[in-house]
Amino acid sequence: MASAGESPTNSPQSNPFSTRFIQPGAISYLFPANVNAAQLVERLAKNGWWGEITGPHGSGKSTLLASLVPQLILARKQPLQVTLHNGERSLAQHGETLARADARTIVIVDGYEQLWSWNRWRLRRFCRRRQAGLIVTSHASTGLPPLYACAVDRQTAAEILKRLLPAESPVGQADLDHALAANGQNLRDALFELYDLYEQRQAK
Amino acid sequence: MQLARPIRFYGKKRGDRRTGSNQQGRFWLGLLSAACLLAGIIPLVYILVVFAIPEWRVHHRFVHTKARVLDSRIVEWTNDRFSPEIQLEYHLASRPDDAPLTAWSEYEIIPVHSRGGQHWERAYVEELLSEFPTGSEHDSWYDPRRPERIVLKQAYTWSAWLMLLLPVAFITIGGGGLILVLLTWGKSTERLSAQRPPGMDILQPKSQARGNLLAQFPFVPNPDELGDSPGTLLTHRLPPAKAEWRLFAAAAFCLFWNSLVAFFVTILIQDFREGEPDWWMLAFVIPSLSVGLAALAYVGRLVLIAGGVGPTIVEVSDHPLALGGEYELALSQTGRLHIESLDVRLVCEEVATFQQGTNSRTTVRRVYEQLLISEQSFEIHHGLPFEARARLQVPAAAMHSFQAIHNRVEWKIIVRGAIQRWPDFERGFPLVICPGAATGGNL
Amino acid sequence: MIAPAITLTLHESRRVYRPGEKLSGQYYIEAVEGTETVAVEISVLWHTEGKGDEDIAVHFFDRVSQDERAVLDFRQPRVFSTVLPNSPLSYEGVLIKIRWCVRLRVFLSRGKQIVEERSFQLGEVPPARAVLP
Repeated sequence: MASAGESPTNSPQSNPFSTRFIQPGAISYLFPANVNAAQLVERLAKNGWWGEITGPHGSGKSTLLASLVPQLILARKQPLQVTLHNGERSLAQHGETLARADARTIVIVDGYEQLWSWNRWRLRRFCRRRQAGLIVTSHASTGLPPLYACAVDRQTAAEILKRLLPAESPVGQADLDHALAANGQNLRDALFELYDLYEQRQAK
Repeated sequence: MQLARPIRFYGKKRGDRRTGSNQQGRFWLGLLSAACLLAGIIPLVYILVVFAIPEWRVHHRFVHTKARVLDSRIVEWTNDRFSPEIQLEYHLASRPDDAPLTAWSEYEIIPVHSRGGQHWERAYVEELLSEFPTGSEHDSWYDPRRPERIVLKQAYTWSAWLMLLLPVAFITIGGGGLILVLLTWGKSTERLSAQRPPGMDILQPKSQARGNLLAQFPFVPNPDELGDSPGTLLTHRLPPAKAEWRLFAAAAFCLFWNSLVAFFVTILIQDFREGEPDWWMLAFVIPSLSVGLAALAYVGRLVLIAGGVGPTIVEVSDHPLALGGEYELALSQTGRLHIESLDVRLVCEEVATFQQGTNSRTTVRRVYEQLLISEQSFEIHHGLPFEARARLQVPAAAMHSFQAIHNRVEWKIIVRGAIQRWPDFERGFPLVICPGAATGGNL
Repeated sequence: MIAPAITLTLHESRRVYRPGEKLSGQYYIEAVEGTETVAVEISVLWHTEGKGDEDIAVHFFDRVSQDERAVLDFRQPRVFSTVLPNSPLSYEGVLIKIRWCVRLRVFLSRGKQIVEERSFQLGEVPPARAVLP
């Protein structure tokens, strides 16, 4: 819930790796030089507003979704986001949200691969019937038109770290490299690990 | 005048969550337990009346005689179903000189067609009847109460007896839950009224005082929700942490699961004996059996700990506590054990829940620890619990108990024991600590 | 558009308050030509920060908005005050930090918003350290 313009550097006592600074939406997704959110939305429009974002754990899929939402709104679309948690296999709990879907809507499902195949089929049929768009995230392709494949590289991770850290910090690039290696290049888990490291070193 | 805590059937709103009262929780537990009990009693009665009791009577009450086959026939039911009937002539054992009786027998006390499956098929029935040609003599058993009721087979349907496990499991779970509800319903209020400190309105339920406390300290957990109760050594007995329910939950699961597995195993064995093995069912039963055995081993371990170690009781002189306050703590440990070491500590832990992708994770960090009691190398004998007392000095400069949706600061008493030739045990007893004067609290 | 200048101050300069004490302050907004303050919300709240997802709770809230009957002049200082609760106290833990603040949210014309905050400490709980196993 970090408000616009807020950064860890505004609060010297804050751990820059606190959830509010690293959760999806708190940091903008860092695109490579030749890609931006507006281009992705254009690609999405060409695919009839259907697309999938793929990538391994902690590669920024949820963060990318958060970065796309403002562009979708600018394109006069109404995002309806559903995030599946803890092995949710159906959309039963999200019926009320999905009931609002219509031709102006883009249904966004984060964690699409957790759904049973039957429920994925039902969702696609639902969106077709309502003429709604559909964007999903998953670890591997699920057959929807590919929109973007997220990946973490050292340069991106370094840039994120630079945006998070204040000028003087007990945690640095070497720590991030180590955390990434220890967590299988999962940036999210690496940042969670850096939270603990920052606390330990700050306490000393 | 309020004599008892009212039953609230609506939830109390706290932030974005609704939490129910203890009475509401007990009510729904009672309802669920009653439903479980009913779900067990009905099939139990059916199995007993239709299968178990009649078969038992054949073995223990029916009278043996020799019967001659006069005739046999195949009875046709709807939907291509058939059943055998054999006409028999026999003498009653009590009146051998009387004229013989004649009666039609359905072969077994549980009619063949009741078993379903292939027992309905004409081919099966014809094969059965071929063993009883007209004029042949066979052992038979008749009901002394109704001599015209006679059977040619004395056998137990073991599957039916095993099926009893399932309703028994439901009855155990449902009955146990109902007993728990009945034992705890309204008990706290009555017992608390006898221990109210002097000067306090004797008719004011303690929940009223607790309600004032909640209003006074927002986002401090409600001590009532921990479920503390009056103590015997000191004023308040702390309830064990929810982990203690592991044994009950594990046992209930184990009983239920293994009952189901037993049911399918019985069918499987029957099919194998009849020469028609069901390989798909075998593929399903094998992993299920592994799960059942693992559950049994786990329950066994918990039972060892619970049974061998015995209940741990922790009581305090007041609850909730306040930062900077001084209290008394009493420990009672039962069992039949040789203790290598026993520690009692006051600890404070931060518990944070966060989303990791689409998964929810919880992480815990201990931020305070104080050793209250430490004993080494002693025996606990059956019927003679180990008891110890300690002064509980709550630190003045620390964080009070805090509870929000994703973040909590929890205080608890932890009792840890190392036992010779036994698994170590650790039991936690949550407690609530309110702000004190030293941290700027306004009591 | 040039954002208006917002001044939000607490009457007592100290940062540490005790539960039950009165917290008061004032705010005013110096509008710039071309912008109009439509409404203002002042709240006293706490929120968590740390490894867990954020929890937030508002202790005091007041909203003032323009209406047709009276035009409000936000250039004049407006006072707010509330009695602080007994809990939760401000806390600098390892996984969890509890932060109290006064938050002023200014709603401008054309849907723009500006947020200004002033932190303060409730109670004197010392920072916590992890206990090593």
